[in-house]
Amino acid sequence: MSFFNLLGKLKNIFRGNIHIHDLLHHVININHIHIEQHSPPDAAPINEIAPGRLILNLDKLELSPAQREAIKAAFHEAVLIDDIPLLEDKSKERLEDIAVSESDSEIKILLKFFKKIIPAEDYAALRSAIYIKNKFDERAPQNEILSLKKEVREKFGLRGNKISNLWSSGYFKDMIKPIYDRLSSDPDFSENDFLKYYDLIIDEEAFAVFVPSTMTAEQLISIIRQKIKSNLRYGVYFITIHGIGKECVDTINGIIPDIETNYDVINRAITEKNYIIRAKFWFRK
Amino acid sequence: MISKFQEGVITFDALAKQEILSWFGKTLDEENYIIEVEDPSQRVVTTDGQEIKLTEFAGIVKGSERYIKSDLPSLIEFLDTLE
Repeated sequence: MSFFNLLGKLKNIFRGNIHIHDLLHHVININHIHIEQHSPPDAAPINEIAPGRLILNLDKLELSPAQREAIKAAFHEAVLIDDIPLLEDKSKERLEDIAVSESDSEIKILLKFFKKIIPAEDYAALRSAIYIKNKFDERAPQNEILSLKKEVREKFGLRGNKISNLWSSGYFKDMIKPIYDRLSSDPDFSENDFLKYYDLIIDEEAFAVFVPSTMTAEQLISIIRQKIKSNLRYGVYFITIHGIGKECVDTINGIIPDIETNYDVINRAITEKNYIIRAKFWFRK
Repeated sequence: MISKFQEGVITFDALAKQEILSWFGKTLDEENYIIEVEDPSQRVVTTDGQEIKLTEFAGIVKGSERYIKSDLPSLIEFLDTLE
């Protein structure tokens, strides 16, 4: 109904121009008007460029001052009274793209799950991370990915980057969700228990190893050695190893002697409960 | 397609931004932030108080004339109001 009002107003504004008036009179089911300011030389003032879509080339309309005021009033009313969104075309496309990315049934389930258990700001960062990963998987240009990551960093800081990295690596789905499921099955569980654990995972994301259940001890030793080397290069004298599930806990416990034999470990903190393990080792500087 | 857009949507290309803003009584200051024509000392802000540069301007919607930024987190937040 609201779009009908806008079209009616445009018809009235252009009643002196037979071509435009006729076009507006004959188009049906219009639900999208696109406005351009610098159109190609041969562009018509108004054109139906696709079913349901009109293009309005402002530079070709040759508006009188009265018509310009009337157009301004018509769009003003359409947006602020009739509640029609007025958006830059690229942002509209981005919004549609985000909606598609979040319509995936698995993503929907995960988003519903995490919305209830992580802080609102992290949840917002997670949604950005999901979109960026989708664009990466679609092989979007690298400058677009970098630009999206920059926007996330500007809004959510370093924590936004960490959340993005954890999502990209599958750890929200394969580590954080199972940890919550396991912790929450404990009768003494409190949301705070989970949030403490969750915060540690986010904070130490760059310096931690997350161990999948399929990883062998040999693979894990190799990854841990690489990670320790990388951490030390950045002046980080610790490593944290996370795992969930009996096999994983056994694998991690099995490689602890390797760490303690090959590195100058000055302290260690190993917490293990409900087959969730977090092992942290500090090394001498 | 987002259901709200199926009901109707108006879009504009990047080159039409300043014209669109002028329809709503807005212009730019020397740093390219959107300001009120009638009160140039007043920069337009988003619902969470962020000032908006022309390059960041994504659109206007109802809700006390709500101005939207084009970065990913802002669009995701805005998407919730459309669905």
